[in-house]
Amino acid sequence: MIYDLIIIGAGPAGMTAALFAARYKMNFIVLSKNNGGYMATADSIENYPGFERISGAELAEKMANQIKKLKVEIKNEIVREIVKKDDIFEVHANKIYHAKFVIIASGTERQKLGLENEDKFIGKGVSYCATCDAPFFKNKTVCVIGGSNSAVMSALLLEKYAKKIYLIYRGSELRADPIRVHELKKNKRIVIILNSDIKNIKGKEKVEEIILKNGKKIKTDGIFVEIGSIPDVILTQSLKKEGVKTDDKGYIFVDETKETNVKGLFAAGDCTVKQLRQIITACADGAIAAANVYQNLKTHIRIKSK
Amino acid sequence: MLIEFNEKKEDLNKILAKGTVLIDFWAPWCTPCLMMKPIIEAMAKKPAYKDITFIKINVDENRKTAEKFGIMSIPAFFIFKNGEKKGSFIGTMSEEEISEKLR
Repeated sequence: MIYDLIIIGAGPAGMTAALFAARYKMNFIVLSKNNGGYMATADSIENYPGFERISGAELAEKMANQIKKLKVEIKNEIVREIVKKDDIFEVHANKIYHAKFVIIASGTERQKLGLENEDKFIGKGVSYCATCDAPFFKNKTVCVIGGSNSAVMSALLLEKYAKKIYLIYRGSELRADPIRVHELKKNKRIVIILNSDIKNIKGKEKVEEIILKNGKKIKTDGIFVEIGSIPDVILTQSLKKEGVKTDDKGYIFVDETKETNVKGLFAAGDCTVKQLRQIITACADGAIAAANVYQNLKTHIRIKSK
Repeated sequence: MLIEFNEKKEDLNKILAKGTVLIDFWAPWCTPCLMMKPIIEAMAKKPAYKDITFIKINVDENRKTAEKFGIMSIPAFFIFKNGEKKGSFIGTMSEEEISEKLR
């Protein structure tokens, strides 16, 4: 069986692409390792129009319900390789699927600090998900590393549980939206440390202390890592083999129709080279990609290579 | 087999003592935990894993057990074979990856 389209990923980009593809009545499936992607881990979303305030999990569920009503099939499978053979894409997951077009909406994975003993402390104080782990730090001291919206939101969420929060950022000014930074600065239990970065983690069984690059030591029970994300490493390697153009971090270059330099292969959302990575821009990308796949299907424009 | 553990009623050591057991520490407010829920439940029903006991432990309702295991991040998984801890891992994973660890 050859599908019209395979969508990889079920975050906001993948689910919007699926919504459009279903309405175009395409023959397609969605392959994803989870539902909702990075969006689903957000404690609160306040910049998605139509919702003054909604949790990431709730918004993800609403999007999933909308496409499930259109009988979209989402398979829980990890895609490891995409190979183009005679104008047809082979998508390698639990088995090999075939499609005329592919939209990659695989998002990003959380970036680690890259410290020597970081892995040893995962689950023992080092966390990459404040919404999952904040309640374990009641009346404790925690450090949040990063300066983005995610970092600031994590610090504000942790404030509901922890007794003291340090927000440590290597830049001279936080990157988060000013409205969030304002809220953060009002809070007396959150200490902001700028121009500083973590150098080392100390502790016997659990995290006990961190050492900053300037030598300063901070006693802490937890470290919440919020230093951004990178595209799926395994998929990036496969794409490079197929000659897909990416930047040095693995973000995929697309044109304004969201097509990559490989004809028929599209990409949408956080995994692409773009200026603003937000739910709303991911949704927009997914819609544009699906609409252009539909145009291509309809007019049968099939040029072997660009 | 899938067990929803309740520390007030059951003795965990007794369950762990025999065969291969996969423990899943979770909470309803943890989205990655909810992502893992259908995967674990589907695995527990498959003939391929019929010899494995899957235990779901809600950390809100089983605080003492969560504390005993030193849980600070969820979803957290532990593998026991005949009472002995054989491994642990944290975060979301596919069935394939879990299956490999159970081997």
